[in-house]
Amino acid sequence: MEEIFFNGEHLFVGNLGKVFVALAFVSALFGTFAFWHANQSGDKTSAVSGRLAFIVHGISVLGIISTLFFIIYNHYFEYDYAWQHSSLSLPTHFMISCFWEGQEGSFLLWLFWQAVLGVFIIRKNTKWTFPVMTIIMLSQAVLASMLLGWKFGDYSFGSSPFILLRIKNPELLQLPVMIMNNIPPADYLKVITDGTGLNPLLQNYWMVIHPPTLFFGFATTIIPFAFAISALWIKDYRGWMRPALPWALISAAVLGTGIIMGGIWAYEALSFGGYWAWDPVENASLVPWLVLISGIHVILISRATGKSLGLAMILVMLTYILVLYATFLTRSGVLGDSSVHSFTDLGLSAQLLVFLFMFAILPTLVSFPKPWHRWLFVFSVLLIFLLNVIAQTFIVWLNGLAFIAALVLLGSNLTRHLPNPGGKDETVHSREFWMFIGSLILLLSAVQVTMSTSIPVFNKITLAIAPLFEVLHRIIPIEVFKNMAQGKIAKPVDAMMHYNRWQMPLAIIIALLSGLIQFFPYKSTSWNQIGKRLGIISAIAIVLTALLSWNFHFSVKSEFMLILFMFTAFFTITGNILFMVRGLKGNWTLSGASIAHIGFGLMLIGVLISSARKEVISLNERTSYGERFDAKETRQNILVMKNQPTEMGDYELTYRGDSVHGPNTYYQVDYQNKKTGEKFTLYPNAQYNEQQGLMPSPDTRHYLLKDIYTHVSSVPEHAESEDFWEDQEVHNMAIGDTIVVNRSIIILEGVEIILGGSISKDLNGHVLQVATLKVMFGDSVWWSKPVFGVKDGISSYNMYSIVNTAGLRFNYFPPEKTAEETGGKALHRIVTETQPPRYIIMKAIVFPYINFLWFGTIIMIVGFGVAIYRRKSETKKREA
Amino acid sequence: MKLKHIIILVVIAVGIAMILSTYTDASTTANFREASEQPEKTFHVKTTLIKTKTIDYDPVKDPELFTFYAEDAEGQTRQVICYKEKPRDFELSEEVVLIGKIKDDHTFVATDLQTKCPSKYENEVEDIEEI
Repeated sequence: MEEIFFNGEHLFVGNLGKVFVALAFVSALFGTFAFWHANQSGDKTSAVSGRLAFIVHGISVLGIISTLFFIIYNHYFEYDYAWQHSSLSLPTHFMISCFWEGQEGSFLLWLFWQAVLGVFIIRKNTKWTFPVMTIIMLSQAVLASMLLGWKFGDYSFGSSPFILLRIKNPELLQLPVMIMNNIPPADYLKVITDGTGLNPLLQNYWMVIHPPTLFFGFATTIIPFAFAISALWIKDYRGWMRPALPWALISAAVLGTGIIMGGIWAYEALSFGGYWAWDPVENASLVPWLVLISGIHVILISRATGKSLGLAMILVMLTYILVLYATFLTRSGVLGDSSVHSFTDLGLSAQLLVFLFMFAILPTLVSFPKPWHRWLFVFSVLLIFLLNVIAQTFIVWLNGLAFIAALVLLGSNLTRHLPNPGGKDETVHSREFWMFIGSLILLLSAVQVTMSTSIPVFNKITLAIAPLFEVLHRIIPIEVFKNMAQGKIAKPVDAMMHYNRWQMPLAIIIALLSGLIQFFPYKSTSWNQIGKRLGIISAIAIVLTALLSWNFHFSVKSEFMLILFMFTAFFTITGNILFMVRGLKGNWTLSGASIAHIGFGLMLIGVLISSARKEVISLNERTSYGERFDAKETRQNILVMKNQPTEMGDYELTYRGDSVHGPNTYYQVDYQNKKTGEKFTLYPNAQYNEQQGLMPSPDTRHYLLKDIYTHVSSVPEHAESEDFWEDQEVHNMAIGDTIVVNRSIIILEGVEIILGGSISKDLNGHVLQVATLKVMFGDSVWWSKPVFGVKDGISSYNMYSIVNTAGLRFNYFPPEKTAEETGGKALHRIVTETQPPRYIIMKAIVFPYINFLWFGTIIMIVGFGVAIYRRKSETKKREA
Repeated sequence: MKLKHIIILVVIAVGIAMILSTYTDASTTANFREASEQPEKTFHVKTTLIKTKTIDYDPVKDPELFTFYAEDAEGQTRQVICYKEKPRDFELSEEVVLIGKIKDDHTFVATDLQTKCPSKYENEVEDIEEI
């Protein structure tokens, strides 16, 4: 076939990018091997080549980012990535957001952060440097491979961000010329003038800072993971905790910030009415954080008592594996319908799954102390991998059994080979005992969220081993087994209720423990001392709980759990404040944990009050509930006609109209508080998008102790044009006649004849006939006066009259025949035209105490900061 | 039995309870026929919006009520009564996942629904084929 040369393509920059990707992949692989060898043999040359490989890798990653940004910045729409995720009108500060709208870009971001973290590891020269760098470089190789886009027959290895639009999606070019065999004409670029643009929901400042923060959080989890793996690998089972702890704390702080930022983005820019919806994507980022927090506590226990070492390792390693699992969930398309914002499948799910398993069995590999056991394990894994390749599918039962076997081996290796200090178990008097219980509760919380989020994954698994469930169904004929065999389990209808039912009791225990624990010094304390302190804290917490419960009308009978929850949150806050003041005596470097727990308590208060006393004030009271069964639940939207004051709870609303700025339409809604007379205006807005329809964003009135949140749920079609009249009708009416048009009752009260000269000189000689129409719409009454004028017997003057709120326009024409001619009454002609009703359907919610959540988060992050400072300086002292 | 063992047992028991509750709370994907066998139960039903039949919505009368017709994978058709505000451009959606209960032989009452607009890609492919 003759090769076509396409005009105007900038191929050099894309090729350069591809070279950088290949270089990043190869240098990471080489680095993995070099660092591995350097650690095994102590060989100087290997160490130097490893460091060189890291430098080359780092430069390549920067190279990939620069070339991709160059392509986006210069609007080279011949590249699929630029065409899909940007457009000419995209402001420069949002161009950076293009990096995380696409999958390839977000892998790139992750790659970048892990490379940055590598710099901090490689700078130091300890016995941990080489093994930790081996793990980081292995992960870099895996991430870089996701960007390769190398094709092997039908199978593609990675997905390149530098692929050309005409190659990736030739059918999307939408060329006016018929495309033959998907090959566009040589000058096709003349038609591709603009990209399809960035998703408007991402054009929000929270979306500029939330994804990089979250990805930085994800990236940091590799360091504690790498330290734990290295500990098993080089058989220094205790030393890893000191250098890993500050990193684990940094990870928890950053990941926590990233998650909350996502919540703020959802609250400020999305319209689901809250900051947390237990959406799979949110859950996927929360679970690693919960496990990491649990892991940090177990590390502290293990350092103090020498026990629970295996659990500390497992939790820290699990954190990173769960980050990979989260990536698999959100990027493989397996979530499908169950999430609003999961990525679609790029054909990478097999690759992601292989890598997920690879990292998930890495702990088992290094847990064998003897080299030949390790080689045997690698050999068996390769064998199973090959069987899958030969079968050209995932052999679910084989892989499942093999994976369970790997976990059992890990467990048995850890119990056999980890040092056990022996001695008595911790007693209920010790701080470590209760910290351990708290860590288990956190882990349980993570298990519950993972289970319920993974329903689509379980469907795939149960479908693959359907015969097992069919047999089970025959033995125990309950419907669940049948549905499992068919993979037909769907997420709970009321997800909020499902999650809260588990998470609230767990949160209560955790809050109670985090208040309690500070009063147990490490090792043991007498019950007597503990009792006295507990009494004081409980008394303060009870008073605060009583005050707040009274303020928000919590009922002791029906809301006992919530009151208990509130008590435990106050218990944590007061307990930790008292500990800081009395226990630490101003030694602020030790106060990190207390500050973080105070923040946690404040967050719980915020979550509790803002969700339990969240009040939808836009309850629709105008219509009857009819046969609706759960009416109160669903009637949460109110219709507000333009310029017609509408009552809504304590407020009177008036929708004043809309205005367009950029891609947004802003709906002006005036609020007036009927009790206080306070007035304010909110501008909830919406973007109209051809693919997704109306995408509303809320506007929120912030107070210190509450927020009033408003978003538009629906607007009529044709809402754009102000001067649009339709349904012209002519009504023949006698004086006193009544008609009904557009829900309004209209009475012709009379027609006056006025000489034009009496109104204005310009109208001298005109005879004006003014009709008086009484228009009743809802509870309101207006008078409308259309005018018909005659000069010298010729119709000369016609002035319509509009009743805006009723959406009516009137014209008046005098009777064609007089009363004498008709032999009855004279029939006046009233011409009515209607305007499509102009209204918005909106929802308004009051979130009390939501600021406690944001403020508590900041306090918690500060606490992490103090703890990081303390642990870092501890490490430094040790190194010095 | 030592305290340690009691704790382990409790944790395992709670873990199992969690897995069970995932399945007892979970809903089921079904078609209209299966949903009508258990009219008291809430199902997820994957359907296609029938665009040739009327979609009724009068927000001035009731902003949270609209009706339309949908066809499931087996080809059964039901009128769907949905107690929600009509998403703008609902008419454009193809796949609609209904969450609700069957009412009678003709109607399904949805308390919630998820729509999937044709993705921009599929849509454009169709356009090209039409040319």
